[in-house]
Amino acid sequence: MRAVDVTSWRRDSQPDGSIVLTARPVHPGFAHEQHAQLRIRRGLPIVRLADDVERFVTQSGEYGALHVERGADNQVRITGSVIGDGEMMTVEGLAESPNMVALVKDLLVQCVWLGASERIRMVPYRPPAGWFGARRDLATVWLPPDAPRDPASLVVGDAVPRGPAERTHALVWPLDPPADTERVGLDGTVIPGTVATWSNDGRVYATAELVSAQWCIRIGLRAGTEQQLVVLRDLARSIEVPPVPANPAPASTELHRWM
Amino acid sequence: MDVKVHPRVATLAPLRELIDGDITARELTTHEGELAVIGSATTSDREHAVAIVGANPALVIDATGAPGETLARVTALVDELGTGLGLSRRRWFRYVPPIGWYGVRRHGVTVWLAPEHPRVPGVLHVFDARPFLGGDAETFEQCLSLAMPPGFTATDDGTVAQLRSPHGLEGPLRTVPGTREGHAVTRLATMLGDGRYCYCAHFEGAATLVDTVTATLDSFQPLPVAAAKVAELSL
Repeated sequence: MRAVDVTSWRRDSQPDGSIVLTARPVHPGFAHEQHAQLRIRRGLPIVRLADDVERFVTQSGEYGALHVERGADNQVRITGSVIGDGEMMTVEGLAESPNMVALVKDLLVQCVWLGASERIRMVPYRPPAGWFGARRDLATVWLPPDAPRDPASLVVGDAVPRGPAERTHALVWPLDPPADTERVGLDGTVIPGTVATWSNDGRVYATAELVSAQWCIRIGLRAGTEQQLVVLRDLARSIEVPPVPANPAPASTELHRWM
Repeated sequence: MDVKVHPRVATLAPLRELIDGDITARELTTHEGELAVIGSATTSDREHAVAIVGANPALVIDATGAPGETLARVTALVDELGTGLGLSRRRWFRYVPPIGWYGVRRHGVTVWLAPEHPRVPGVLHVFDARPFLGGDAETFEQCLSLAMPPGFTATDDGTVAQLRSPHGLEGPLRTVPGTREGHAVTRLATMLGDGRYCYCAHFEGAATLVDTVTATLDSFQPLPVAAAKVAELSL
């Protein structure tokens, strides 16, 4: 089932901005009496993924998730999302046909494009158990279970493409250690990492840096403890590298017959 | 000097709303290849300078300080900092909108309504520039974004001409006459390119507005090329 199959479907724009595609009768994979519909929404990432979802990486190098509900008589409802940073796309498919599962996944994996894969972007990692996370520009800040009594915080910076954007990220999130602080290797990370540790007023500070030719990811522990330093190291080891998009098509301005 | 850097500003305001007083502004292209504008206003003891880099979201640098130093600092920061947005994304580009038309922003597109619409129908969609995706992704993107509303009946197959804009963009321009609800309208659709990005637009409305729309298409300017050693744009 290829994306070109849905381009012939009836397309309706909805007041909420979503687009509903409805299969025309006698459509391959969907019999005349089986109504099939896709609802496509674009917007800001606000989804919180449940545990029982299938996670995947798309051909354009984005993260996605899929959830299927099956009912009686081949009824199926599938909800899938591709999650970027400034936007996401959700495709919800309804049909009395199991073919809808393959169609929605096919669309999400092969056809959804959100934007530049070489942007400052979030990456998956294992968050510290029991900590509370708050999303900020270009980073996520984690607070310990005893906050604010416990003054510690863990700043997990987004993956930053090497180049001028590193300067911006460093300005917004000044995590650099004091000059002459020793950096030691951090084992077990997906990309080479180092960590610098220092103390101030009886609290532990640390900055871990994971640096490859393409990405720089920084994690900072502020006003923490030795035990929380272990949390930082574990988190750093769970960080995944942003996926690489599949080979893109060559440039062309061929006008498709979409009028 | 007080300098604030906002790395991701989603809702843009015009410079005149960000700076009080008589503004001096200039447009420029950053080393990353992003469009930017820097404006400043000066009094006897204070200078306020604002830089907006990129769009939707934008990197905004807002500084207040001594006259003669603040604008220089903001200009230096525009050179130093990168937006980190990536070049292969949807991007706003420069063009001259049709005079007197009303613009409405939607996801990935600006919709321009003719002054007397709907009495004299005229709706122009100017899509954000984006890389050509190719394959199924391109087909799906066009299905979602570029499909025109149903209800139009073509009276013939129309014509396809090659459009070459004064700013170096090239691509086909399809013109189709037809009707909607019994009224004569004309459809235009174009997909211009510069080898890096697609600049797409379509129009449906009165034939008397076609020249105005064509003039807008001619004003499309290609996005600038990055000067610094940033990741090459993959198309």
